Amino acid sequence: MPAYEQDIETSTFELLEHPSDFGLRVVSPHFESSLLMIAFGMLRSMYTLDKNRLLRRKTRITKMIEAEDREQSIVRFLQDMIHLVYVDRCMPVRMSLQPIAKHKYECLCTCIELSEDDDIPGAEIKAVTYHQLSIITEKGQCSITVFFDI
Amino acid sequence: MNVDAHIYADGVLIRQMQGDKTLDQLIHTASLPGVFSHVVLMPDGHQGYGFPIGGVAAFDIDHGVVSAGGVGFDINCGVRVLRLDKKLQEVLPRIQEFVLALFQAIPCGAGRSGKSKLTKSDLRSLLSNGAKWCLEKGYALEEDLDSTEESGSLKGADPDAVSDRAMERGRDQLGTLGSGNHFVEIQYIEKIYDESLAQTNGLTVNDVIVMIHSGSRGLGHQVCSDHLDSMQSVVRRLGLDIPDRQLACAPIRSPEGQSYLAAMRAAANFAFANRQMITETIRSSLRSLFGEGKCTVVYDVAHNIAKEETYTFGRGTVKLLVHRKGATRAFPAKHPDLKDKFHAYGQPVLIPGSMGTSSYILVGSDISGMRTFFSACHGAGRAKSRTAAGKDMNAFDLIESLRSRGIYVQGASKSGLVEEHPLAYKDVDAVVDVIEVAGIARKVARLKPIGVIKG
Repeated sequence: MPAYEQDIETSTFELLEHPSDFGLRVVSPHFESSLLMIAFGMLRSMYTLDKNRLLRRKTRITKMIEAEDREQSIVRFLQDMIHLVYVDRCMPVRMSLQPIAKHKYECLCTCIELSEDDDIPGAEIKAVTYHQLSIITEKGQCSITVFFDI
Repeated sequence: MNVDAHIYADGVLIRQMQGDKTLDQLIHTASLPGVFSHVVLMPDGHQGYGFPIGGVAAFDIDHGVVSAGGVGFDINCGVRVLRLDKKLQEVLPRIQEFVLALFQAIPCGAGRSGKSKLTKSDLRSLLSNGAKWCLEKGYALEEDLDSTEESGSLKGADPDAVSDRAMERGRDQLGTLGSGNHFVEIQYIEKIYDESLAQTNGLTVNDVIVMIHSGSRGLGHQVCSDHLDSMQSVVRRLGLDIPDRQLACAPIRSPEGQSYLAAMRAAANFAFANRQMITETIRSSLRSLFGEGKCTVVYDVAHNIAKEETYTFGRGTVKLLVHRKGATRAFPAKHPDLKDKFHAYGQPVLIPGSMGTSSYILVGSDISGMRTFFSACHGAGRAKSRTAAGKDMNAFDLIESLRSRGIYVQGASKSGLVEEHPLAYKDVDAVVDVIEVAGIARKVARLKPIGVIKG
């Protein structure tokens, strides 16, 4: 199976309203590429990176995702990203997602270190919810909608 | 629906609830397995995830379920009220300095760390003991704990039920405010409604108050996420019919249910300790600025939690697990779980308003408790989404508008400030009136803000 690749610069997403917090919707031809796009949408909502970000030293981190269904794989993957930002203090700028088996993926993340001085914090996304989480595949497009707790 | 749903609201508030999925979520909550008697929605109720915010649901300990989503992500998000030994006239001339001093001293905003990183062994001890850990380390007074729900230490907390990932998120966040709707507000007592109850709690007109709203930070969110995940498996295994995956649950007596409750109590202890550490920072700032100053805890209460409580039902008693998701415990006088003056007069119920509006101190007054499972509202409740609120005005106009009303604001981010502007919330006066008219809690004092520190 081919790996799906995405970078932070070219990912696109739609911001959704919620009475308490907010959500994101992405659309792309494959579930896997939508998964990467929703992750970058979330990461971009959490931090605005300084313009010199690409000059920073990069590290590579591999994340394994294993779930019982596609919804759970979204939630677990995004939780991994939250952990990278708040605990490891790094931000993926490019990701390559390799499907391994059903609902099992290996994601190679190229990350930069977050800078307290240069990067601007945005929404403090603390958790990913199952509330109104949807995956709709139609007309050759896969749309994913996720709401976040901030 | 397995049981009825009871809503406390006036005409305006109920129309606001009808504007989103609040009532659908209440119906979903009333459809959970083992839910007892009825579910309740408070007048500040609005749409959340799974459970509505402002929702209360009780479950029979032996036959019911516990839902991680029914407690929410920010376990033991709660409010603490401090009374300073200063009057408005003493503080007002230095209010800008005071606001700035607190803003600089209390780490607030997205991604901010605390002043120190706890060792793993200290964090485990803190998770087991909550605010008692602070007392042992010299960060609390005995009287602080006496004025905190459960003395700031929930029994049955087990750090082993908390994942390494959750521990990592909490290790450097003790004593931090966070972002979103969390705040520290400097207020004064504008009006006393019940002299006797106010006196019991040491409250007089023009006393300066500091109100803290914060919770268990990233640790609590990770605990909820971890256990929500394990509850998904239970739902699948037992074939439970639940209307929203965020309402995933497990029988209370099951290993998954017990594990969640042990972890939830640990996260709740983290939140009690967090508000205690913020209190210590406020005391230190107070001393630096005014040379001296006493700061007494009036009360500290959770509004996102599940608690085991005993209720009289018919001729007998029943032990229930009461989920309060954006609802405050409101025990009346003589309740057996209250001690000392609170047993004599009732538990203070702390209701923050929105930035720039009044807040309230009430006291629990519903003797039967069965109508709301001894619960009251937890605030004003959001009326607008963050995105919609952000379009209403810019941060400069908001700060100037509040300043013209004598309220000084410091915020970690401009977007965070405008998302929390006063009109993004319901009318707190109307919300509190509903609570009093319904006989759930009685007004003791109204507080007016003079300084706001927003995360």
